[in-house]
Amino acid sequence: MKRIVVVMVVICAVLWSSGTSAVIAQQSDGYEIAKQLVSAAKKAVDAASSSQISEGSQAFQQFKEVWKDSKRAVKKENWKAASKIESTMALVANSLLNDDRAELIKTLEQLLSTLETYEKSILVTRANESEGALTLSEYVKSLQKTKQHIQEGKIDEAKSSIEMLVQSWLTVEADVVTQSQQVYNESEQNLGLLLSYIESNPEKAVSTLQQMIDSLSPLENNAYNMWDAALIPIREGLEALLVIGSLLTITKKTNERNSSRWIWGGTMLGLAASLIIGLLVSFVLSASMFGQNNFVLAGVSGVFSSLMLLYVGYWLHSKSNIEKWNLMLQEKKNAATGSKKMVSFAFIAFLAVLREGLETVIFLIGMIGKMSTFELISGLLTGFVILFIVGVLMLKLGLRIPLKPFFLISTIIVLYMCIKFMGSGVHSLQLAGLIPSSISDHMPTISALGVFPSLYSTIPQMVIILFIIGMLIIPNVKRRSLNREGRNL
Amino acid sequence: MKRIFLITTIACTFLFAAGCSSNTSNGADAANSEKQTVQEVAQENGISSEMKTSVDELNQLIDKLEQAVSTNEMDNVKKQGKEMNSYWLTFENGVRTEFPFEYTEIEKHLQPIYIEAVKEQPNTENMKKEIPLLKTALTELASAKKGTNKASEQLQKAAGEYKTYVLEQSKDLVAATTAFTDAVIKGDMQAAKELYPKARVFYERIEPIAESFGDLDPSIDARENDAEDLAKWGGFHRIEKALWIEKKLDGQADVAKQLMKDVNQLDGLIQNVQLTPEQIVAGSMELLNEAGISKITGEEERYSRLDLVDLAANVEGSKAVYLTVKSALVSSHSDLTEKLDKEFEEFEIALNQYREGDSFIAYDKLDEKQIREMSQKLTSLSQTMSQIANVL
Repeated sequence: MKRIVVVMVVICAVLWSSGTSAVIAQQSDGYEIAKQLVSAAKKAVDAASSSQISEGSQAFQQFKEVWKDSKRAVKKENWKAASKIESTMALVANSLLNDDRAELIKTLEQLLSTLETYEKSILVTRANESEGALTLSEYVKSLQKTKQHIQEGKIDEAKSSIEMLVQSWLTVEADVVTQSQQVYNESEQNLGLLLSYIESNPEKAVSTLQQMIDSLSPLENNAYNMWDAALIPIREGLEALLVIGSLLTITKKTNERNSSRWIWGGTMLGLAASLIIGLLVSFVLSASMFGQNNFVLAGVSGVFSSLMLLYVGYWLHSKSNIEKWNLMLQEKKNAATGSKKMVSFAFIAFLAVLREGLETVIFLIGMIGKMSTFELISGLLTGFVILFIVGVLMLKLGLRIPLKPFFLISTIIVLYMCIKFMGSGVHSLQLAGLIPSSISDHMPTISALGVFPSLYSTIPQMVIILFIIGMLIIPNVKRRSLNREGRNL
Repeated sequence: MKRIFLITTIACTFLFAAGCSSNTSNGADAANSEKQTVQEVAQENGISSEMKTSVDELNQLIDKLEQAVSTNEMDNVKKQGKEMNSYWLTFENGVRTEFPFEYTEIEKHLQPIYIEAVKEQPNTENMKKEIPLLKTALTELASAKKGTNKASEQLQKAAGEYKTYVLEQSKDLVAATTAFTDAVIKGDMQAAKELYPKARVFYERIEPIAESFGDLDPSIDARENDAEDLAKWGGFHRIEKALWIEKKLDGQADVAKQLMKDVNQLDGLIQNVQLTPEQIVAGSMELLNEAGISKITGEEERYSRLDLVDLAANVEGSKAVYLTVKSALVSSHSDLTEKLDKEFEEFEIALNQYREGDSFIAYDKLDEKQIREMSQKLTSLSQTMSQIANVL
């Protein structure tokens, strides 16, 4: 038993540490080094082209010092680039020995160009390694700031921030292109046009910026985090465990040794059925029916999951909450005898597990394309570890879970997921171009809740909330009126 | 209890199965890279055949665009520009993940062309300037290699042979440095001056390997301007200054002892060094570039003026690499090997004019023309060597 726990903990720890080490690698200062090299090379180009060859020679000498200090880091980052830089440096040295100023300028410019490529390629590498999600929202903020600069007439500042936008585009483009090729294409083109507009036509620059903001801001990461994934096995697993737990308690009381086998058998069957359905669903979804456009897939699955959760999560639960299960169990206990009773116990266990399993599938469908595999798996594992611990406590040590608060929290989780799925689903459909994307400036963005500043996504979310409130109130009202009728009679 | 575990495990598997395939947006990349790994195994060298086909296709589209630009058909320029860009978009993701440097270079030239093309009034002059640069960048991508390629058996063998060479040089370096530092410690100026270049040769032949060990190269080989703190400046060049400029060896015994210690440590590290064919070829280019950047300019041995000793050693070290990989190249790239053979020979002939006994004449005895001639030869050697790196 202990070993199992240890193994699980170790697995989790490994997953965690691999995540953190990636973060550390990302923070290396290779980019700073590249920037220093670029600026040293720039100085050399300036010196060579604006004054005597001796000035250029001196500046190149200084560049060589910088190179000497950074060579190892560059080689480690990209030995090919390092080699190319050195070959170009040899050309510069050669032109200096030949006292050839035109050649010196040419080779220094070549050096500068190689270094600039190297500098940017580091950004690309960094963006490849990380999620790059945060930077996209930062990028949109910079777009807004640039727009503001132009509107306030600060053209020089706007110019330098446009240059920065062009530069940092490399860090976000991978994130953009995987989400929408169209947005990527447009943005890249607009970015290129911005530089020419800023001089000639500031108005046009402002509208171009606005266009970029409009098309990019919906792409800001609205992904689910690890804990969203961890909640799934905890919630679903606990509910199934509650049913299995009460079944086991009953059989223990009746002292029927075989019965627990039946219950576990039903549980296994339920798991197997869930597994098969899960595999089928994942097979269908991964088939190329949706093509390259992830948005349609993410959008349809988001909205679908949201509706399904409403249906399964609320309707099914309200009809068959744990108290009703218990009631049913009592009836079965009394009614059924012998193997017939056992089969019905197994069936109840099977149904309970299947129901939770299906919900899990729905949850996972809803998260399609919205989080990294690493986060999903580490989240699920974390959830399972917690579930496992609670399961041991419940079944072996007889821990009792307070049912009312548990179901309240459970319902809140479903509600939260429902709203989030709906919001991000509609949002994806907007990005896919199936629903018009209009952004209202005065509406907030709450990515943790999947709230986006567009009526197309917020209205369905409101409907969901109203629906759930309605469902919570109506039974109470009914009961009260029933009570009143009873009293009247 | 076991049962609970079993259930958890099954559920885990199920969630994994569902989770892995449901994660499509990042999953697309994952699937891509998976595909690429498969191709990598099949291809081993260079970019995948799929990417190569895409590069060829893109080149053809660029040719068409170039055609349209040269005949000034603006409508066609727009059309071809767009086509070029959309084709690039179909495979740039793979390029970005695997070859960030080459990717950036392509983007740098492709974007301006595309932006010009879709403008109302495309500036064809700009496009004419960028198109050849874009083509060069694509050629570079076509010959790009990943750092993790498995090399052919022949090349592995070459790396092994080169390792033997490095071990020999290191052994000789230890012996020569021992003789040199002993002379310094004894205060024998004359002997030390004679022994100095003998030790330098072995170091300069394998300099890139020494540089790969971080702090060792600076402490063995730092020049005065490289030293962060002059009081702590040590190594060969410190003693060089004492021998040729200060003309006294006071206080140099400690420097010599430290130098000996560093060289011994280097020798120890070299015993276990792992060398890949790529590393050694990169090292051979580094040696040539080093010779071209700081030896031929007379910076390295500024007090003893023995720069040609170092220069010759750099080129010898580079040639040693070339000779080990040559057999792997000679059948498929005889044009390159012939060119390199010729260039090495020409350089040696040029350098041999300045031999004096078992050493070389002082750098300051060379005239401008002689220096230029050697510099020119070194640059072309380095260019040819870089082609070798591309075809490995």
